[in-house]
Amino acid sequence: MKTPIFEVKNLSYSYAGGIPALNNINLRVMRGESVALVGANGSGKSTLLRLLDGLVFPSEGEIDSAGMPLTEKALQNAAYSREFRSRVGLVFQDADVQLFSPTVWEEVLFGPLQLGVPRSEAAYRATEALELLGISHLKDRPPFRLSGGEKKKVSIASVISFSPRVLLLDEPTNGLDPHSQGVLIDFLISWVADGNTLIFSTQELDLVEELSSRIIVLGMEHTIVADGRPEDFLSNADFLLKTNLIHEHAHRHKSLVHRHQHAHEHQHAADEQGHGI
Amino acid sequence: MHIPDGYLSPVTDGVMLAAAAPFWVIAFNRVRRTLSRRTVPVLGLFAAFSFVTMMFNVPLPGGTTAHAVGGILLAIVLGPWEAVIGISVVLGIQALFFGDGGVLAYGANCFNMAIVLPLAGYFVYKLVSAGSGPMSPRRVAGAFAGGYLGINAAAMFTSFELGLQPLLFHTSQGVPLYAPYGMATALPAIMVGHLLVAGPLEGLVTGTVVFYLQRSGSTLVRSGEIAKGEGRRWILWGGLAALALAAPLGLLASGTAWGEWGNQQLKALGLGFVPAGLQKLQGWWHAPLPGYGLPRIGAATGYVLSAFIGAGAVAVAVWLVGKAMVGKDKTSHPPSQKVEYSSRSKEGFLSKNIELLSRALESGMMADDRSHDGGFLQSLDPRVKVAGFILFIIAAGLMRNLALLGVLFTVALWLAYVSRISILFFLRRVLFFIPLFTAVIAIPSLFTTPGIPIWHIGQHLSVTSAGVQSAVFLFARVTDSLSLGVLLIMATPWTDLLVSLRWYRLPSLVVSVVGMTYRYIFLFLHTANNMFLARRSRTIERFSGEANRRWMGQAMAAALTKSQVMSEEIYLAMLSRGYSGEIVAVDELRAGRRDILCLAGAAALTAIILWVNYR
Ligand SMILES: Nc1ncnc2c1ncn2[C@@H]1O[C@H](COP(=O)(O)OP(=O)(O)OP(=O)(O)O)[C@@H](O)[C@H]1O
Ligand SMILES: [Mg+2]
Repeated sequence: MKTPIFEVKNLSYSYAGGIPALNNINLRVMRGESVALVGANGSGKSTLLRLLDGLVFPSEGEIDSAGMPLTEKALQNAAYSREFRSRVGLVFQDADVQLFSPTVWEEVLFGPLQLGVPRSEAAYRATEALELLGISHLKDRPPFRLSGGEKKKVSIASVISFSPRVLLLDEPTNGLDPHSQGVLIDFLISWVADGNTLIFSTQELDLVEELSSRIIVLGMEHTIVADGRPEDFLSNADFLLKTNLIHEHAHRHKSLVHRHQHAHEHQHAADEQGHGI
Repeated sequence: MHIPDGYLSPVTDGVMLAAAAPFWVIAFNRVRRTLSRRTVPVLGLFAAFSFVTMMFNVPLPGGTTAHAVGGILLAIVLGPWEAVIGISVVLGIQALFFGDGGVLAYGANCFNMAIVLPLAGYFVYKLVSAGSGPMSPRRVAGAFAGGYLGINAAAMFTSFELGLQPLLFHTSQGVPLYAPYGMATALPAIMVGHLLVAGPLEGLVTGTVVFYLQRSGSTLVRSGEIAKGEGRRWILWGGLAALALAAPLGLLASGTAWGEWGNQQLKALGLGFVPAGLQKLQGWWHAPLPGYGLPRIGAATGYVLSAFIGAGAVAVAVWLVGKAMVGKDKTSHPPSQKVEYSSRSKEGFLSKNIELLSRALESGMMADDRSHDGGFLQSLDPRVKVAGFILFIIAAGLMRNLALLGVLFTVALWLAYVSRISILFFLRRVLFFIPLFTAVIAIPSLFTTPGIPIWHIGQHLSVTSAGVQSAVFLFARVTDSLSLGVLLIMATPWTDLLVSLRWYRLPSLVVSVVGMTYRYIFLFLHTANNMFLARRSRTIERFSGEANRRWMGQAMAAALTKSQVMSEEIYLAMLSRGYSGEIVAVDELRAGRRDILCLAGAAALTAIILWVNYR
């Protein structure tokens, strides 16, 4: 069997002061998978993505990435660190923390240059990333003074620009207008089809259906309560209610209309996947 | 308190730089030894805090300004040596981007604000809070006292340096070449403002932030137990530091012909001249201490002490007058009375201006936009640019000929032109603050400099030719140095500048702190701005002075804690994208033959100018 991209074994994590964030997590992600992480606020999605990106390290348990243990020690090795960072990219939930350069252009160049991509190649990739997200015109603007959605796009571009093979996205469509969401989703679908790996967290169940081949649900106890094909869970209203993924009230008023759409799209997505894979 | 270029002679700049160097070495080695993954972002964050704090200038009567530095807070929360590095970084950014403090005067400014200020302040803090627990109110008191005395110690050094200039550096006709005011003017002008305004402000910032950090249970104050014995150890260190601080001053003073200014006794000591008015005070001060056998030290100390005493008297007077006017106000402490007065108008001032401030900041720092436009300077290797511009700035500092200063300014304008920088925009940036400010400062020297009167105003006032010359010198020199600095920044992307500093062997720890600080300044302003907005949206009526004051303290501490969390996030985000402590330049550094030629040209021009100058 092939080595998994990530292998997480008995992982628990608590923040300073003993605040639990993840509890006994086991999971394995293979190359080419598109995994949706869902769960209520505070269930631990962002924390899990940080752990997978080697930014924080498990309180208990371990993570292997491509067969190598992902530890603080291992990442102190410059060669390994560069290899891992080039391979895995994380887009943070809060775009503000991810933007720290004086201009958008330098922001998008930061990753490739730090990771040793030659300048001309880096500039090419940065230009491409900006074009893909339709923000070339923002190139010389300071990232601090952009709209929320623009910031999000810049932060996505700044990760795409170093062409990681594994993308970790923390609520990527948050704050994007419908058109931009569509563009991003199209990109991600084709990107995964090229054999890359995607793990993203989201609150939007539509996105799960459109984009993922697998769903992992984190519960309020910070454990994995479900792991499987999206269609097996998303039709189960009781389950969704129980894991706080939908609200009865909204469900009755808004989602009734939605439900039709869901069923419809669901069919659609399934068809597409059938073709794609 | 920032001394711009042109106020101090390059010799003084050199001496101060040399005096600062050993402290930097100690600080750097200490910090590196205890360096952890968190040091860089936290240091950067606090430096940003200090940067923002320093932007709130309080205008003082007499044309100077005072501001809090936030440096003693850095020393308390992070440690004194970390503070030395943090503030040095801030001063560097300010000098480069805003011409706030000169490039050549960097050593002097660092000595005053990045070394004397945190070390003296920390010493006082340790003394007051020795043996106290992390939550003890004594820590708050210590923080206030440390802030107050630390910034005043720094101001005192600043006034020494400025006050020495006309004595040491003047033309053969006695026209001051640099700062025109002697000790007798500089010392009170600077000290009174700091004793009355900046000192209480710094104390308040330091004290309240420590107080609210304690209350919010922040890890920033919880760590770092102060042991009982530590206070004593710090007395020792403080004594040594004081000696070390006094040494360069003695160095400056010895071998100069300023005996005519002071009395014979003092000349023998080689330290200080005493203005006539203070000589009387000196006698007065001797009286209560005749048996102590300290008459010699007494002269110098008396000099310093009398400044404090005089200022203290003024403080009491102000307080009494204020009390008489306000009537039933029941506050009892003179310094806090003063501050309460200023903080009442402060909130409106703050909330209105924080937005403006961030915009001003950006226009200052976003020169990066323009630095990509292909022009002459933009096409040069940044290392060459740094070297060339420093040569020019040194030349500007050394010149004793107005025509040559004009030549240099023309060169700067020409460079701006060939680098496709709008001349109008350039002039606005250059003249915006410092030279205008300098002009205001220089006006009294028109009258006070002794010389041949050339223009009489009324019966008693007359403008002297020496006065005019000295004022023009100061203005021209300041403008020249500043325009050169601004030009460098406008034509060089920030990252390239950092990389060339790295190339000039600046330790990578320092370079990364500089980089982080630059990033965090925006974060900090952003957080502060949002907090003001959030507060405005939640309140309808105006707050009382008391509530405002409380809120300010809380807000500062909260903004700091919030930004601390954010700063760590940003650091993670940088790590995630491959940051390993070294910054990679946006444009490749490759000094070609053209760059070398340009550097040679700059060197030749400097040499010619200096040759004409000294001929
Ligand atoms: N810096 C922190 N310090 C302490 N506790 C934290 C910190 N960040 C998150 N937590 C806690 O850890 C738990 C998991 O947080 P996490 O951010 O991973 O949740 P999430 O699933 O991403 O939530 P959301 O949907 O709101 O983004 C929460 O209970 C949260 O309160
Ligand atoms: Mg989250």
